[in-house]
Amino acid sequence: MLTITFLSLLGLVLLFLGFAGKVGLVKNLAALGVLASLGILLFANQDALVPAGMETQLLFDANSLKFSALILGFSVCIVMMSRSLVKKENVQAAEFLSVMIFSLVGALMLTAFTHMITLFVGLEILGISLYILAGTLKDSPSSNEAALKYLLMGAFATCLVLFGMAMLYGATGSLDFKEIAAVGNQSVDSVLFKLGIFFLLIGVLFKVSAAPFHFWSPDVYEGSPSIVMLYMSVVVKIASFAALFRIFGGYFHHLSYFWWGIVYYGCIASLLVGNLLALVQKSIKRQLAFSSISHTGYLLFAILVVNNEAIAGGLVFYLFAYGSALLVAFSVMNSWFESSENYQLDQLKGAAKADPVGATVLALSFLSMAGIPLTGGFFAKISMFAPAMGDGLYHLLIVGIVSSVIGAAYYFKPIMNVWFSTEEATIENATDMKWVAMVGGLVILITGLFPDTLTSILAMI
Amino acid sequence: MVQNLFYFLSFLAVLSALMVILSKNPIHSVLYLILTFFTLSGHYILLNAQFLSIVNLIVYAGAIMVLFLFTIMFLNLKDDSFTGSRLFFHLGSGLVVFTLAGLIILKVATAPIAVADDAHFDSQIGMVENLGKVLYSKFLVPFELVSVLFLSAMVGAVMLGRREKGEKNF
Repeated sequence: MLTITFLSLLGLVLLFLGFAGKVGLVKNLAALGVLASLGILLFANQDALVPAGMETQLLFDANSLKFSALILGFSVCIVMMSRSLVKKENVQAAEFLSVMIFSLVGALMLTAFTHMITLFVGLEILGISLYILAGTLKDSPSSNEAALKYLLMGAFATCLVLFGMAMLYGATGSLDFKEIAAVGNQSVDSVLFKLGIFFLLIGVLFKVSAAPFHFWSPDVYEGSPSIVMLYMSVVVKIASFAALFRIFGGYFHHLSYFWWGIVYYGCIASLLVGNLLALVQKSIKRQLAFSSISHTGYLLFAILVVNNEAIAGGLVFYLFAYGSALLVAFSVMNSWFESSENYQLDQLKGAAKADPVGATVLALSFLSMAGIPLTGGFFAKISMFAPAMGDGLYHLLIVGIVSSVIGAAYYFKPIMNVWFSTEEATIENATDMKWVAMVGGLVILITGLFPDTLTSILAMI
Repeated sequence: MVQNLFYFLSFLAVLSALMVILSKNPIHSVLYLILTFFTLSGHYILLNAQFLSIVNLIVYAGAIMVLFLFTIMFLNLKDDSFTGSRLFFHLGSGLVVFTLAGLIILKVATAPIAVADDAHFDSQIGMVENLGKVLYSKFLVPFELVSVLFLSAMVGAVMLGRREKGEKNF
């Protein structure tokens, strides 16, 4: 609650500073403020300002603190990286950053809701802010297209969620997840209850871009500015998975009779669709969008396994490994192609000759996304596969392993282009802030070599 | 008296809803749809839900329908914009509509009629005063957070709609 209040006020302050024309201050204050909110999240009592006896419909338990800490930690980096975007012409720094910070309010709500109303308001705050962020580059038609497409598809998903909520309310007479889950035990035969769970699940699967509800994501990811794409595939993915896990790995976990099959086939479809379609892409952003769909598939393993208490740590580990790999890759590519927003695979050719450090770090991050041993991604995949093995989900495991192999094929394409091409480099400039990229690469290696350090750090939160 | 009012409103609602789909001119359709919303709001008042009725008027009849009207006027829809087999279109839509209507009528006709639960009936539940009390006590936090939602939507609208240097508007 305290962090959410702080972030809302921070967004307001940034708006007023932007109105006063202090753009330089806005950029610094945004990064500092998000960092401060991370501190508040970790070290302050979230209910400090809430009067005794007042209901807030929000509850920051251990899991939500972990997810929120990941969200805020990655957001600090993304806000710092967005400097290259907000200095462009026709991009309003203060508005962009404050909308991004408002969207964090929604993201944190999605990790901590206990009630339908907070889930819905959180989804909407996050959603509406993202439609705006996707359209930040007003003079680029593809950015406008991305914003409109995202708005239409997002509104459709919201309708499904809302429809499901109405059904659940009709079946149980309550909007509180605990009460619904308690009533759900007795309503095995209720059509309303089944429909409610079904639509709620479909709506949330839309938001995490699981196949077959993924059609919006490649276009939206490709058209948005690359910082916004990074934000969507890291922060938004964490937030929507936190919500999915809170509902179906938590409140409705014992009702798996209703929803298990849908998630199971959604998981298989996401793995296959994401990995196979990523093979044929020419644009890096599009390739990463399809790879993001396949990672949704791996993450859905966490919803499917029986022991939901144990898998939470694995889910956080996976999201951390995936997010940090993507963050590092984008920090390198952002400085390589500063003026363009559409990265093609061919543009990477020979880049290692011009910038060996950046090329090494980039290769490391792609290896981590592919799940090659010695990188964080390998242990992330293990942490998803091992519990599924324990549950005896062998068909799912086979699909997962086969698609990881397919995945390795397309993750090697950019690495080959960077390192083993004889052509001259076409990149604009070498990685600025080399130490940031190097620290990122080091983090990927450390999580790969000593995964226990990360697990124990996460356990302390 | 109330019963006669109910029948009058229902008659008007069905009639204007029919006119929405029967009128040739899309602007007439929208105007009839506004009339439908007015009659539905009347029904809400009969059901003792004043707040819902006012919100229905403001949001649907007011905001959304005016938006519709503007869109239709801007797009300048023509009657002959439909290309494709008319017979197929009519057959398909007729089949869907009659199946759906048949199912609903069947379901409603066979369903047991719900009776109000006198023990738990509270005639004041839909009143603005009670709603406000709940919003400002139990649901205060989500209610305040909705303001963040609207603020970011407003900022976004201004940010995306603002005219930049050298930009041409129509």
